[in-house]
Amino acid sequence: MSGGKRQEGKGLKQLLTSLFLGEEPDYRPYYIFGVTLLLYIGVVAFFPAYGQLALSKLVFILKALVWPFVFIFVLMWLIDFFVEPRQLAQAFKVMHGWKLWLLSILGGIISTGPIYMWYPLLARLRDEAGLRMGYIAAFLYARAVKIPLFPLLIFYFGWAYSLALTAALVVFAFLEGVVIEWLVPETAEESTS
Amino acid sequence: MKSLKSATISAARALLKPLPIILTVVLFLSLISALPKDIYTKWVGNDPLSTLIAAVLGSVSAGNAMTSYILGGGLAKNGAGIAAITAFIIAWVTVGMVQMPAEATLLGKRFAIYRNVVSFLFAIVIGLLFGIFFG
Repeated sequence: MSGGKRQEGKGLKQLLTSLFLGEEPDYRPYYIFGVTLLLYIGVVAFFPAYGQLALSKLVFILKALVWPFVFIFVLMWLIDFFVEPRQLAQAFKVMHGWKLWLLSILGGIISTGPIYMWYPLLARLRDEAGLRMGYIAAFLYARAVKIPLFPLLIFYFGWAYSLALTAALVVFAFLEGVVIEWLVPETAEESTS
Repeated sequence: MKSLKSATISAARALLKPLPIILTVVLFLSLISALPKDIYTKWVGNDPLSTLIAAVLGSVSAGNAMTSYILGGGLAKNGAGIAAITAFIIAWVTVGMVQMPAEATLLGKRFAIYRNVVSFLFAIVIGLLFGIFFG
């Protein structure tokens, strides 16, 4: 194998590792899956009638999940492509009043990635731009609204439930902001001390 | 705006990384789905106790929200109470027991405790409301 091809192969391996295991490889989910699969095979082998029924349910569930997964990928891609954390941070610095509540909730809804990734940015906005804790709480609560997962929610619970849940989460994100603003009114120094 | 490649990798990672856990949940769900349906209506109902237990389970669980939808949705389709399922799904995404140390360090201990407690209570309230309207 030439040096270039070897380098290419290493790059592909690195990309696949990062896609399936994350930036910091974590094999535990695969161990859990392996153990579960072994147990599953055991159940199918020892209880054939029940196992057959479970297998048919498994095929049905997997088939049903294909389209929601495609939609989820497209929506995640769109949000990842258009939303930049830096742009959001800039908007937080210039807004106030009801517009800031709206931005906190909308920002939470469109923010992607794990929640802990946003803590440093929110802490910086609190320290540098004086963003109050109520707005941060509203932002974090609104993250419960998962637009990319909407197809999956509709698939399992239907339109009426999905829309009602989304509306409830938005309203309660605002309520949580108000309650936290009352319970933890201070901003920077006091809250971390 | 991000580059095409970076957005594609980021979206693919968000979907592929939780795949083993999702598949684990699907395996369990298929086993659960093959059981008689009245088991769930008997054990996971729309009552406050079921809702409270579901909210506790959602609070201590961590991972992609997709997993909670598949688990909650699968149980709901098998007859589990919508109040408990709703509280479970909401607590899963709004209460972060696992992330609490990081939240407390960066945003303050008082903030982290109050926010998680209020989120937990809200999960129960919304669950019970949904139990009334959709149960």
